[in-house]
Amino acid sequence: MRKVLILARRELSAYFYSPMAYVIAALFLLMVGVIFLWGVRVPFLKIEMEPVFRSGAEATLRPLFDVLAYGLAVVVPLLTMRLVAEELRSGTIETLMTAPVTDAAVILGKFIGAFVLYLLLLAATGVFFALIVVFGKPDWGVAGMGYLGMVLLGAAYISVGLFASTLTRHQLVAGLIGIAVLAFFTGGLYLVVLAVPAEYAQTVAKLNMITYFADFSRGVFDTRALVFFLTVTAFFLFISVKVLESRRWR
Amino acid sequence: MIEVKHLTKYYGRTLAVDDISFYIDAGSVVGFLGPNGAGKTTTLRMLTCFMPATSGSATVADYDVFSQSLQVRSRVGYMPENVPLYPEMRVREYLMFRAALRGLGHKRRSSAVDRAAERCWLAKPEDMMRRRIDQLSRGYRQRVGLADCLLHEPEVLVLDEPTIGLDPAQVREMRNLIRSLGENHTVILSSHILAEVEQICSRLVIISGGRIVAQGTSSELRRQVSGPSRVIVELKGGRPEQMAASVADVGGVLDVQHTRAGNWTRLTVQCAEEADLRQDVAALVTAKGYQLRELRREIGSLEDFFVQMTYEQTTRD
Amino acid sequence: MAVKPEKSDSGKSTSRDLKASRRAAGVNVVISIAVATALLIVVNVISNKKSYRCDMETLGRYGLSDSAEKILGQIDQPVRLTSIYTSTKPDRKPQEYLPRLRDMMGEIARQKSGVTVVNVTSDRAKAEVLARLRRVLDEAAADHHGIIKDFQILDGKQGPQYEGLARQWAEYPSGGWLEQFRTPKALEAAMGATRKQLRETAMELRLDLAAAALPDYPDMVLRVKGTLKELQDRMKQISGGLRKLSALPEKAAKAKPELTTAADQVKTAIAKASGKIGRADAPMPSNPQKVLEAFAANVRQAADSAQLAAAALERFAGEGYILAARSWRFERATLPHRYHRLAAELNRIADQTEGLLRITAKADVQKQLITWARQRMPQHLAQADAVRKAVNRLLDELTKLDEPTKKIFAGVKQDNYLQAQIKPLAELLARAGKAKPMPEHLSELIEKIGQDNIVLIEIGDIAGVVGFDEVWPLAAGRQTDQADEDDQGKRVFHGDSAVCAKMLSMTAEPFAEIVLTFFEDIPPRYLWQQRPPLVGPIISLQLETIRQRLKKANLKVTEWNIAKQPKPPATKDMPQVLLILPPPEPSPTPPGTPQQRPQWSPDEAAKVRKVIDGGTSAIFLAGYFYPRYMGRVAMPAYYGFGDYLRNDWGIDVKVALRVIQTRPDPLNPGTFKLPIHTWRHMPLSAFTDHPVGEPLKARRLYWLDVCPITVVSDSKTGAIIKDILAIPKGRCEMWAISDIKSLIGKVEQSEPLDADPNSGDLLPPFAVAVEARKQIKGEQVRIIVLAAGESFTDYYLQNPMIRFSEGGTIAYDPPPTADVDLLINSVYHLAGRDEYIGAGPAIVEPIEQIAPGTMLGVKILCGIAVPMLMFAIGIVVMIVRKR
Repeated sequence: MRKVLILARRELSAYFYSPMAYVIAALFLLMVGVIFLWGVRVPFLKIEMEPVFRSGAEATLRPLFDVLAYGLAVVVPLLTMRLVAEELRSGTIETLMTAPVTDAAVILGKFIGAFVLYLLLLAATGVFFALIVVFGKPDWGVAGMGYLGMVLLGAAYISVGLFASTLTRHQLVAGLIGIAVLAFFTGGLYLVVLAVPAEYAQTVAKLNMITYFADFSRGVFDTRALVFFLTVTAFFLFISVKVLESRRWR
Repeated sequence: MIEVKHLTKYYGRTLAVDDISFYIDAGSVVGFLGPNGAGKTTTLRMLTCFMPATSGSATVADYDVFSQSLQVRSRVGYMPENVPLYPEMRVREYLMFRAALRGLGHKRRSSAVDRAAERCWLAKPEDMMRRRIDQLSRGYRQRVGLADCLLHEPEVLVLDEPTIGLDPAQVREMRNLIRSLGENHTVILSSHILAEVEQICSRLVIISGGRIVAQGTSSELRRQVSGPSRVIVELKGGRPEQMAASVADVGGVLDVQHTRAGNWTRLTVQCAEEADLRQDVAALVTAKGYQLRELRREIGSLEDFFVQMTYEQTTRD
Repeated sequence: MAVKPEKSDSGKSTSRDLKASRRAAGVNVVISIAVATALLIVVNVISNKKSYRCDMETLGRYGLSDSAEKILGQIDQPVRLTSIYTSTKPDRKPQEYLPRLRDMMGEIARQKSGVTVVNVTSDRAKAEVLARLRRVLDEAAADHHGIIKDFQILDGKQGPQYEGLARQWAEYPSGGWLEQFRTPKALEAAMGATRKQLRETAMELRLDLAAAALPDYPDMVLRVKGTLKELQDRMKQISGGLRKLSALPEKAAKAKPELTTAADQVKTAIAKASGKIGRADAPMPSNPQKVLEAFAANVRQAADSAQLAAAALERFAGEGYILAARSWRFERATLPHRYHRLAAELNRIADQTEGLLRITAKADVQKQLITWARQRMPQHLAQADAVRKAVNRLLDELTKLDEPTKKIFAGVKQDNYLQAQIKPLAELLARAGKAKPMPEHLSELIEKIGQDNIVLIEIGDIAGVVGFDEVWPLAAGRQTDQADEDDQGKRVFHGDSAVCAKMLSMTAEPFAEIVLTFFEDIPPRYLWQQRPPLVGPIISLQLETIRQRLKKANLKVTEWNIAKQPKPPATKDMPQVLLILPPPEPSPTPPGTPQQRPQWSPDEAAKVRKVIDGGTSAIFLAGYFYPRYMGRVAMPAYYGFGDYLRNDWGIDVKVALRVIQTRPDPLNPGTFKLPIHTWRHMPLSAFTDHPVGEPLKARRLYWLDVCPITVVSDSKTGAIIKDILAIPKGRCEMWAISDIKSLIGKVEQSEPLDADPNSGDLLPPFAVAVEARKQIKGEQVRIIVLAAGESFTDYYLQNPMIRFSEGGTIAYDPPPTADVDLLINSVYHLAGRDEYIGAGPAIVEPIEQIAPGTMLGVKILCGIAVPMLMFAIGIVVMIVRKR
């Protein structure tokens, strides 16, 4: 376990010492800021959103979270794509895997490192929440649940991105795979639900990550969603470990 | 210490390591010698549990590399050929990280790092430990890689091409270092340069085309390796072709090559193994009345053997 | 040797082991991944079945309120909820209002099995829903539908018939008998008009059936009835008229002798008189006096005969069609009139003659008269002759029937002309009259389905609609209760209560009985001169809106007229709540009235008291009652239950004071101005946490003629009194004023207002609605007093509110129907069904007004500063690292 934390710490410092993380973080915060203050208008996707922060609006970050749930499906794989792929490319995987650490520890360490970074990003959005608190009276239960949902969603997204990263030595490919998988399990399934006959629609909707997130964003704590996110995270971490281990017996 | 039995590795259809077996005692410094692509790196990777063998077995310190890899890994220090390091970390950070990975507790970590750094001459320039890895030259990077191997005082050190890419001064340093390490650890290193290996290692394992073609001490090998001998004659007194032809008539001569050497003609006479045709050639030269200024015998060397192995490997491929 | 080659057989077996173990490892991995996937699915399925859900909201209500959950628990039929939010108006954007509603409907579906939720946002989907409802409606309105269809069939069948008839009349031979009455043209036009009317109505119906979302069947059937009645009447009129005409020839023939005789007689008489006076060229008679006397007598006789003739003619014509006959008129005057004129002239001549004869006996004057008369008479003779001829002509025309007309009359006489048309009309009309009335929920559905942004609820076969204003009512103003113009659009979400309350009303049986209790004596209208109606300030007939809402809220509504019944109607296992209207003032019996009228007196109040003491709850409606003036003296306001409430409950309803709301005058602090629109519509939502009023805190409610309620200190009634709606201390812009007259004077003079306690004004705090409870014979009895009684009358609840918008223009807002909720909640509370009191809309504080400067700062902060900060941190870290 100690080794996991050491690996996590190294991963985190690797993030901090590379410009990539800051660029992505800045862009992420910019995106959040834009949604927060100017709203979103994508005519051809029929998306139209008022800014979250405007006089007379409900004092809540909920619309922001709802958009972020989709936006992070793109941002998180970009953050996690280097986790394993970079090691594969530069060869440091050799020293890593010939050190006396289990592959599970490696994966877990990388996950935790990325997760802590994600938590820091979420904390940065606290600026926006602070604005809401100053200018309105938000519902703390809703806000709390919203952030909890973001945390769980992030964990699941990171685990998917990490898995994608174990599959190839090319970072960009790993990023694209991650985005593709997440996009399917969020927006893609949404479209599938619309196309599929009604009997299956319910079941299909149960696979959509956003469905479970929506509860949190409303301020409702539902064990189903909690279990879903935790099991999905565990699942993808598990198969990432298996992929990594496969080097040893392939 | 290290026991390898019938180790075979297929990469898909390609046979990389073909049924090799050897045994390495504790405390020896063994060199794996072979041309590029002979299977040295693959073998080392299998020994360090990075890759599984297709068949066969290997044990390090009585632990099987496939089923007890954690124990193996904690007793082995491995430095891969390209010395992969995390470029953004500082030397000390990296070493501390690796020390922690190897299970060293907080208190021991720092001293282990210092000790290893000392050993690998990283402590000398004062700020070396604080430098970022991507600022280091190749030589220093290798020292860092080597220091990494030493952190946990492993029983076995596995070094893949440790001197590659170094300038002669660095090579000499590295050689000295490895030799000194050999006093306390079992060291396996691989290289494709015979001279180095001969200098550092007490034993050699020569691999070519995935197979062990020879193993033993340097002198044993030289004795083992029997290649064709040659007689070099420098004479004058006739047309070169003529002189060559007449020498070729000597019994036991396989081939005669002639070149000019100033006014003289040099003949390279290939003889059968173990044959010593000097007397016969001298007799002929005298008989023919040629002028003789040099007559010497060259026996096949390890280098030749090695080159020939290389050649054979490439033809086989 | 340190390095030895090893070649032993054990190698082979180990290599086999390795292969096997590698394969095993591979299989192991595949299995473990499969197991992991299976575990993933299984764990999630299990967690789906057994889940725990907890709504963490503290303020807003995304989830369902307790009352909503209770109501849902009671419904055991499948429910279908459809939200139809397709408005294109800018202040009703579905994007803004739908998501919350959708969440709530999702919650309902989650809470309750058997609920289907459909969200319609496109017009196409809306059309599908309407089509489905249409089918339901068509079934329920099968009668109506049938009638309409039959009408259309009728149009198809009878239309050509009318055309044919019109053609027939067009082809009527000119010169035919009926021409003299211009009948053919009239009938042709009538038939044409009938055909047109039939076709137009049928076309309208067809358009309505095809185009309308939900056809308003009752309305359409009404239209059908109207048209049918018109047509039927017209056809009957035509048929009857023709019959009457057909009787004319005979009548004329019968009257001919008399009329011709009369006409002849006129001529004869005039001729005689002419003869008497002689011709113009005849010599002067020797005895002018005698001649003139005879002449005058004859002339008089002629005049009489002319009158007789006229009378005969008039009798003949009667009021009938003859008056319309062409020949009835001669030279622009009717025949009788001609005779009357003739008679008048003749009489004048006679008068003149007789007059002269009385005055003078001079012969030469008389001779002059004779000459004059001789000149005049021939005219009149000619006239008489002409008129006689006219009469004969008339009679000829009337009696001379031509063949075609004879045929027509043959048919008419048998009374089957147009019967073929009239009968179907009458039948269909009768059927239309008997059409079953539409079930109320369907008529409500038809009425509301066309509105923007509705929620459609279908439970079993019943459908109901919840309108936009019920789901998203206007929010109460923020700091004060003043309705500022700029927060007109602010709405709060009240969806769960509105939808669940509607579902409750659609499925539940009434669980309480409201007894409208009043003291009224309303004799029939024609007696009002002697016995004017005796009613209180609020009349039971003005409470129709309340009645309807109470019924919709699942309550049974009955009445108890204290003047006529000693006790309220007996109840059947339902709690009763009295809704007590203020009784009339006891008025002195006018002297000399024989009948005893019921009078309001404390004995009558005691009846009510007895009922309440027996355990029945009651709601007292009171309010400010305008003083009556006898001359200059203002009679004090009277509230019939004032004493009862004061003595039995310790509640003092000050009906002589009126609560007003003013606005502070920024130029004169401490004084106030009275905005006109708050006089009639006083906004007040200062509800306490009392369960009756608490849900209404966030709603915008308006009141009329409110009076304050105070508690009698040191009362020994043992009653516990709680405020429901009160004006808290410190609200200096609201107080209760005692002198209306001076107030009006001040407002007219634009003088500043302030409360004047000396004159009897009452400053806050005081209540406007209270609940009181006490123990009576071991039972707990509760009453509620609402001192805003006028606000529940029909004319207040049905007329739009006037307000002045910023430009000084007048704008209208919908009437303050939300007021009724206070009454409904009170009833629910007293009936012991607090759980049905809909939770109020969420009081979610929106983000407050942000100054543009601050907003700009925020934008810079978030849009630029924060990302830049991130970059800066990165750069700093990079630099530090590089060293």
